Amino acid sequence: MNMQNYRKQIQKRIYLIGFYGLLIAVLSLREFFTKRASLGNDFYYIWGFLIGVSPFFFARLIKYKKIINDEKLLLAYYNWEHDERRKEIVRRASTATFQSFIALLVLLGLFFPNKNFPLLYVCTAFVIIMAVLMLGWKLYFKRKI
Amino acid sequence: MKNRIAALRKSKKLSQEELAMAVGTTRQTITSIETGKYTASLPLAYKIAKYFGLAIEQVFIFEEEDVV
Repeated sequence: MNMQNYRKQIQKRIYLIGFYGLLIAVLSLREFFTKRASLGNDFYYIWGFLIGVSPFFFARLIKYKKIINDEKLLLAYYNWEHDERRKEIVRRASTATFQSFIALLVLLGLFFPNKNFPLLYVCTAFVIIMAVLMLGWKLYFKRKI
Repeated sequence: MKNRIAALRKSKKLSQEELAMAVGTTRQTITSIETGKYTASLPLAYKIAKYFGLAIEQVFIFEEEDVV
């Protein structure tokens, strides 16, 4: 890919993260004025989720701002994003995550067959479990290949 | 799969980082290929060989056990 086109793509990502930041600001202002959030309601979950994952996006934003005007860093980042070994690690880790998650669901079903939790709690727990599994498998395959 | 990348790189006084930048990959990938942990794809093997001005078989050493 032409580096000029890649720079435009990075600029687009910066705008998208900016929009995400704006959304957090609007929801936070709404909360400031209405005081709607309370444990268990939907707004609390959406707002909490957006704020919870924001460090990841803002770390990316800082990275993008740093590389966008530096030719060498931009090329290094492009190489990292398109690195075949990295893609292989992600591919293997995704398969392993899916398989271990299914195994975990079966085990949970066997040991806690009649447990009932609110749907939002279950979804949140599953997202966290999958993220942790993915991280673990990625580290494992990074050492292996 | 064995290869001669480390030797070729040292003869040209290149760092792994420099070679990685030249062939469009990362230092970690070059390390993995050099140590034999990871087998480069055909396009990457071609780029590496081309960078050293050699044929693929002069850089990568195919052995019977590599053929599954």
